[in-house]
Amino acid sequence: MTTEAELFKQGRHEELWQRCCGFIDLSLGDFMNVQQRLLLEQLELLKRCELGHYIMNGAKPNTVAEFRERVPITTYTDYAPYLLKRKMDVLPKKPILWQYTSGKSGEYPFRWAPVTAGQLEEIESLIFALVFFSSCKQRKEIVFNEHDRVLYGMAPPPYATGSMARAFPHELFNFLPPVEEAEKMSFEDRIQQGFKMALSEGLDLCFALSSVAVAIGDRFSQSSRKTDFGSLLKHPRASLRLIRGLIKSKLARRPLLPKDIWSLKGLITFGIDGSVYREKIKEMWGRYPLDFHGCTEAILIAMQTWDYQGMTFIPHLNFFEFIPEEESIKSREDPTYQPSTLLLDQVKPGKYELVITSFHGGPFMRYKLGHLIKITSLRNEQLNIDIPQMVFLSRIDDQIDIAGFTRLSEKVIWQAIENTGIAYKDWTARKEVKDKPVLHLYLELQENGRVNAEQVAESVHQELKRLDAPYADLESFTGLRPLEVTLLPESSFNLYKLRQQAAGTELAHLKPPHINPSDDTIDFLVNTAGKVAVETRQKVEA
Amino acid sequence: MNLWAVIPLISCLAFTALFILVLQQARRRVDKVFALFLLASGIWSFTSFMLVRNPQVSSPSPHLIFWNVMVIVAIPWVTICYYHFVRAYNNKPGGIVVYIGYTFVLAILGLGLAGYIVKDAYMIDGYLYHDIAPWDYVLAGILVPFLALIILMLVRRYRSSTNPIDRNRTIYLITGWCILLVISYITPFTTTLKGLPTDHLGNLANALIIAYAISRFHLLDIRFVVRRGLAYFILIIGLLGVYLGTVLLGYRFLPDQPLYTILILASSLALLLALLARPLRYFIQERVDRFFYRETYEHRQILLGFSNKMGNILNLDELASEMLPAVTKALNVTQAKLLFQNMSSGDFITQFRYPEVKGESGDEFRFNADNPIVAWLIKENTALNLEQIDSIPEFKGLWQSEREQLTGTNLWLLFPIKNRGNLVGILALSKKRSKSFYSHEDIELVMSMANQAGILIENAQLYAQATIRANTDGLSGLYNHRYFHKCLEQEVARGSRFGSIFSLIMLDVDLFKSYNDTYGHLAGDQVLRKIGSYIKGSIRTVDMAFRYGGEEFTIILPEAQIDDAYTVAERIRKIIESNMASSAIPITVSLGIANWPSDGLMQEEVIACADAALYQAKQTGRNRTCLSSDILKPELLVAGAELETRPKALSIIYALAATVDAKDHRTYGHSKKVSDYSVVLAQALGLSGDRIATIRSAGLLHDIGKIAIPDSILNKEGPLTEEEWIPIKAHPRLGVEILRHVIDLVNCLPAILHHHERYDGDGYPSGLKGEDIPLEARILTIADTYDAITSARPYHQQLSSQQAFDELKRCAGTQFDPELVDVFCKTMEQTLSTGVETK
Repeated sequence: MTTEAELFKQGRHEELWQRCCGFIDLSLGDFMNVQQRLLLEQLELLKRCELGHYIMNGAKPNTVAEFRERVPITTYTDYAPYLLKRKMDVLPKKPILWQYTSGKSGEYPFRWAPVTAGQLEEIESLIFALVFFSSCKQRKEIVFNEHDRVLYGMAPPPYATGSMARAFPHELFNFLPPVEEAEKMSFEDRIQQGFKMALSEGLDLCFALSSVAVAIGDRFSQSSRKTDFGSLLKHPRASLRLIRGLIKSKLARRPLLPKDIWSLKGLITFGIDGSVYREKIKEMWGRYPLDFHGCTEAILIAMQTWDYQGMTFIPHLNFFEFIPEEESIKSREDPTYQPSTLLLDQVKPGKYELVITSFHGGPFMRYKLGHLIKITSLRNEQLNIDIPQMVFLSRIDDQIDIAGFTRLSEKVIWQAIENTGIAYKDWTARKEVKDKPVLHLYLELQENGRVNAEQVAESVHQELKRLDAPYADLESFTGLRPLEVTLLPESSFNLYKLRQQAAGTELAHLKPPHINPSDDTIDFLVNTAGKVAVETRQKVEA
Repeated sequence: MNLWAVIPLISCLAFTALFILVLQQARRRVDKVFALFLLASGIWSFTSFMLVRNPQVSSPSPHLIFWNVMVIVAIPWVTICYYHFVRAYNNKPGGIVVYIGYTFVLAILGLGLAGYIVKDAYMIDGYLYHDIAPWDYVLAGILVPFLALIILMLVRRYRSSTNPIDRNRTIYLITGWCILLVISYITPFTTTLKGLPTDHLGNLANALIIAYAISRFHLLDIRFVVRRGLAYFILIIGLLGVYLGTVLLGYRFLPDQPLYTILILASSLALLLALLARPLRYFIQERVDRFFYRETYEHRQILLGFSNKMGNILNLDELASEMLPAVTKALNVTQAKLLFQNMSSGDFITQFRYPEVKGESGDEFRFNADNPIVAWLIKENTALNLEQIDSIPEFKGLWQSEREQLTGTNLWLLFPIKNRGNLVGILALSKKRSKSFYSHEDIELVMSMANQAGILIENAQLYAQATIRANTDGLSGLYNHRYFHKCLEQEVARGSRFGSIFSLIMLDVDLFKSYNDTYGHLAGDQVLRKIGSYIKGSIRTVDMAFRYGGEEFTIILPEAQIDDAYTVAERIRKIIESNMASSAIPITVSLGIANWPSDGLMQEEVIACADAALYQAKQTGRNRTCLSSDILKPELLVAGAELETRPKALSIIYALAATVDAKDHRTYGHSKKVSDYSVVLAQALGLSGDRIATIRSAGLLHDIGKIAIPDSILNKEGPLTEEEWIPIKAHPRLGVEILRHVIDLVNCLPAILHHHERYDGDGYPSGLKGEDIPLEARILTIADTYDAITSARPYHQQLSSQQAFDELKRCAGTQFDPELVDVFCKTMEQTLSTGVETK
């Protein structure tokens, strides 16, 4: 069989599109057939392995209905005894690599998940799909060429996005810097180096965390005021590119932005903040980012297409079940409760918690990802895609319940802060109960002294009311404003990061979580970081 | 006006029309670049027309020099545009080479306009004479690498592609390019055509071919066009030759005749020939086809007229034997397979293949009914190239094993064979012997044959089904009584003629009447159905199984000695016994075997012998196999008399045990297992046969009293209340109450009553202690506990055998007889380690 890379090299674009992107043209019936068949294949594998026997409690289901009836909904705790030790002989298929993400505090530091050869093959094909969708304006349009330049700004292996870099057909593209070198560098060095190389060599595709894409844009706008032409003379190609960009930005009477330097063919971003920064990224890079949804356990779940709206589910990596929101809440309140699930051809627009079963020999069975998603429509009318469309809302754990009225997700709070237009460095928030439950937002501003905490609280409050109707109801019903804001001392988040780095913490834990940080974290940000910052400043002044 | 100028003029008009047409539909990059090529070509033709329109122009003429410069600029421009188009066709960016090319064109333009290239130009009698040295060599030096790169890219594309449509499209481009090269780039250097604008003909032909390929590439195979074109070409040349020949001969041999007479004569002859043109064309076409297809021609003809030749076939074997060789020979294919749907499973299974490959079995290649490939073939009306299986999104649902099966074979194409929209078969073709790929025409040819074959295959299948139905017993799925006699007669006839042998097995279900009376006729039918399937699954494909009547079955085993038949019979007996036991159905079978010719030459004699052996099996205790040679052995009959009552009692016991097990599906088979474990222990203790039989029965029935316990208590997952314990503790006594009227089972009652007593006296119902508890009961207690521990129950987790032994040992002396625990554990450990079944 001809591989995707060979098809790409030979210019057989039509075949390549059909192979990688063809799943969006499946009817819902065909989508379900693929799901059912691959699940039955997976059941055969599970019946023959220790993990399958253990999780299914000896059951040997032969049909989808039997599987859903006899196998309980699982969480990582069920797999922990096997996966944390990375036992291979108990799995349905021997993995070719392991990836991890941050774990559960106090129980396990990481959640390890194996990836099989079959899964990795499908990922490679889906990365092509992401690349094509990010650049096309219509079906079967492929504008990328061999040796196009790619800036890869995702986390390194063994994080899942790092595994994606490995699956990315990097022999076809010029990675900035090359993958082998990049894997040996720290994340920050890699981005720095890639950025420099892109300045001199050009850039066609950016595949980055949303925050990285924004950070690069910010760096441009800040550096354009103090361009060091002397150093640029050493790199004539970079200088030319930069001068051209500066002229463009001057003509447009605004700071220099990435779009002035590069005319990207495609931009792919990942992260919960994708939709929050969507407009900002468009403004900076000149095109909307293509977003996708995935995680360590499910790898890839859904991806946007070239209308940059809802995401289309991927039929051949995981079997999908959906817990309706009310059932999900019930199961959170009573962990022994087995919630009922729906299949993709049974869902209606609304909120659901995702449950997946891995295909291709992956280990997870009816695994509750803890992801709250929203089915936005049952098909994409604009692009004639007959598969329900979704957006990711939040992690189930990353929600703050305010007086039972509303559950505010990380995304909504983030969006509200962004919408206020206040320049900030970072934030974290949690529910605190004093005489009444409040949402306490801790915010570090770009520049202290311009606005006070009350002004920030009022602005964020207004935005939250606009974005979340139940939140608005809370005020109208109770007359309360359940929001408090504390402005953190300068460099609090930076100091926190330094502290974590000094303690040898993994990349995923360098920043405090946005939602529900621990008392220790809040104490450090509010008190210790403030003291350190003041002392440092005094020393500098002295 | 120079008549030769008509060529660039027509060419210019054609390019303008093409340019407008293509530009209207130019969405893809390849279309846009093609439009650019047309534009350049149109300008080339126009400048050429302007250059040569006057046949006589004397030197020096600034006007002529200007247009000559324009033509010289247009030629490399067209070539670079064509190179650019081929890059776009291969989905490659223009690249630096294209930029260099266009820069070169601009440079030529600049130099030309500055007067450095054309020094002199004039026209004499329509021929152009110009002085452009040394630029003609410079131009050639630059353009030759581009021309070479074009052909290289096209040939690479053709060789890398496996898709017939894509290859077809590419061959159009290669053909067009060759025409362009010969007519436009080479012939202008010949003495005759030098100075004439004939080079535009090549460019125009190429453009027309590309336009056709881009818009209609899927329509025709280039080979088809060449063949058809050649036939017409020969015909027209022939007619023209006849006409001119007649005129010349007329002049020569009839010099006195007026010209019009000769012309009328020649025209009449040509007209006559033209009337014959149609049959003549067929004749010429056949010759041309034979030349192209050589030895495969005849087979192609068979495929083309398939439905006419096969119209009366009602037999799938006959159809396959005509169809498959024709396909493989016509297309030079390594192997062709025909897959038909299995009526019971719905799967498509290989039934015929040609040529046969040594060691290949019939079932080696199949598609399950739910295979997405089957769904695709039902939906689509075209061939499936197996290269596409990774590309078609519906096939994402293929299992890894299914993909491996497909990629592991030599198969290349699958053709759906349909009738009225129903998929009735699949024709699978392997790769070609020459390793070449299938052409579009090949696929069309086979598709047309497959379409014609659909109705024939459906008719043949219906006929075959009708024949099978007439010979099949509807209940068991085996052949029927009538067909048995026919087959037996054939076997006897075959044996008489060829000296072959066969064996006959007669099988009868034991105590089937009692089963029917107890469980009803529907359950009885179910048993017969199961037995039918067990028999079918236990014999070779050449063996034939029949329902002889009622609960009797027969099996004919061609070429089987009586010992081999005995092995088969025993296998069937054991499979039925174990499967029925695991389904808690108290059914066994007895079998009798006879052999032809040793047990008689007439078919009636063989049947009688097998029947007598079967009677012997029944008489000697049932659930056994007897040979015709065993008949009337008195010692067996005596032993049988002793055993006669046991099966009867056992069937009652099985039925009662099944009733208890059915109450709680989670303890399914518990009674049977307790019985088996008890027997193991009893045998290890060296107890007598009678006591072992008693223990076996007691094991099966020890929980019979649970019939009275409500399901809510039996299935409760948490601990029981005191009230709930009352019926539980009463179940041994209740069991005794139920069974005490069955005389055959009286010996079992003590064991059943006391199987919950504890060795330390704390058990129930009587609180017996130590050796006071009957030995059979103590055995049952251990077996019962062992099975409970090693089985999954609502109130505890399933444990391993070793954990169960540990638990038994821990409770030895309190709950269990320590000596018995010791023996049991040792025996079971040995049994488990040797993998011997407890039975």
